[in-house]
Amino acid sequence: MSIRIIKSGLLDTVQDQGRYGYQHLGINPNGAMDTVAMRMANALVGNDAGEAVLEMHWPAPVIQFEEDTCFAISGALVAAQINKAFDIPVNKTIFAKAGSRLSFEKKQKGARLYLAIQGGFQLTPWLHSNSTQMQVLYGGALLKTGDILSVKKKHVSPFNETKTANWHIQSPIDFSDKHIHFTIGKEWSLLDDTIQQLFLESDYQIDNNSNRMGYRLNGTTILLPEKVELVSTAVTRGTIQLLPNGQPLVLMADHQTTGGYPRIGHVISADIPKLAQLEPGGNIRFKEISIPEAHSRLHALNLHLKQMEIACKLRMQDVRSQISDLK
Amino acid sequence: MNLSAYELYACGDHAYTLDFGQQIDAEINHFIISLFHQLQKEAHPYVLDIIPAYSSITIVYDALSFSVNADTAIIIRQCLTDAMLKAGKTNADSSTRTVRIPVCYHPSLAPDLETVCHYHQIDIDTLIALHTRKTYRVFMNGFLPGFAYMGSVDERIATARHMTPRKMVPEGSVGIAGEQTGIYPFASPGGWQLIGRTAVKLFDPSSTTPCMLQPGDEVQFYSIPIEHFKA
Repeated sequence: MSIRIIKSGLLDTVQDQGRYGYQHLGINPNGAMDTVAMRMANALVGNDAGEAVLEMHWPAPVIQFEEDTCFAISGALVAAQINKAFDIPVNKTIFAKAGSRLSFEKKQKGARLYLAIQGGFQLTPWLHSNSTQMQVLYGGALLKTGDILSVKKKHVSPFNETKTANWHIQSPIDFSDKHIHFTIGKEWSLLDDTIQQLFLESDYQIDNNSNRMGYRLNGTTILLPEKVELVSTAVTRGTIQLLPNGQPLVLMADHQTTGGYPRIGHVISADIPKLAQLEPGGNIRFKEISIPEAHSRLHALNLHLKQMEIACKLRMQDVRSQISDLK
Repeated sequence: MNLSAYELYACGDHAYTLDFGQQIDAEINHFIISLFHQLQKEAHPYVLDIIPAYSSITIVYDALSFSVNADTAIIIRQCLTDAMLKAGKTNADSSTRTVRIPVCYHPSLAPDLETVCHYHQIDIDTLIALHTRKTYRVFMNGFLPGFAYMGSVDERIATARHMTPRKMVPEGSVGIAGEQTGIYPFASPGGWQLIGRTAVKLFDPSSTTPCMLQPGDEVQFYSIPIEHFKA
């Protein structure tokens, strides 16, 4: 049981919930950029929430399912097809027949998409995770044309042709709201009141030079009243560093473990998946909230996803009566 | 050293940092590392990562392991103070590891060796003597998996890093940045002044301990001739 990469995309890697417990060695956590989309894709195929998925960018790969496969795509909104003949909806469970080819024809919105396969990929974890460490190319997998990725469980489709479930799930993230919430960082108080106000009232644009390590932003220049030299401390996902040129940088999944730039804030955990789906040129505006508020947003998001996971599992029990043909 | 000026602050909604301020000091770092070992021993289920740095320690926690109304600041403060009291007891007999690393200081392997010597008006032998004479402390790891920030080098060889980093620094390159010294565990972009190279493997992903150098280690370099250098 396996999938084959017929043509690789821009950056196709295996990712899970991340590799924690090794940051003291300088080994960063990695993991899916959009953990909400990862959980949604896993939920749709009945996997555990943290099962490793394939994270893809644009252009996306062409993938062949060597045997019958139950899969789902979440994250960016794309026009996907099976065998260049049938449209495949995102955020739905798909039952593909052996030999089917999945391709992505057009991207509408979003930066990354996620493919989950029922049963999960067969991988050798490195330091307890299947996330790809890009600097050492260890753990997970960076896929190239011709690569084959084994799947843990054999799936036999109950159908004679490729089918889709007739229910779908929706992302709990509100992409129409440009606000990204943050909690203040250690060096926030070093900024003058007027500069703080400017930061909160300005739109910031995602720079082209943004990647899995960090999102560079362009907007109103934010300067400290005097230059500060900081001894390096740990930094975490979401840390908003102020670069020497006065522009902010938000650390993402592949961030270094320590840093010495002023930390003006930290994007809340619940808003990282939203930020991860914004493309270069996308506008955001920062909004400050408290830590308890940030926690309450994270818990609410988690509860929403948990309910989704349970609902999907229940639906899967009577999948035969809730199925549609592809068009 | 000054252990009285400290601050515990949040790093977002999933981490807290205990920070002793802007100082690079072996004794403060020793305290940080003993706290780190104690916290590792306690293995609280909500702790995802414990990251020691020069004069700070950061606890990354799983916010979802607490109830929504939990005051995480209180929990982490208690966790830290408990660990501190216990670490204080065991501090006296905590032994540090000393690692000896052979380095070939040869211009063919070290593109900045001659410019660093020229900058400080010393010859290569003096630079070697100054770099190998001291035992360095691994203050923290960062930048790359297995990259150890060591210090502090003699001020007669302390050199600011390159303004523009090199696109590729070979594996095993030994560098200086200010008063810090370090070894690139694998090929990577980097801006440190490269004064030598070692063939010792600092990063081995197939090992259960993938990084040879860890925070708190003591490191002693010794010079080997180019005939003995095998990359």
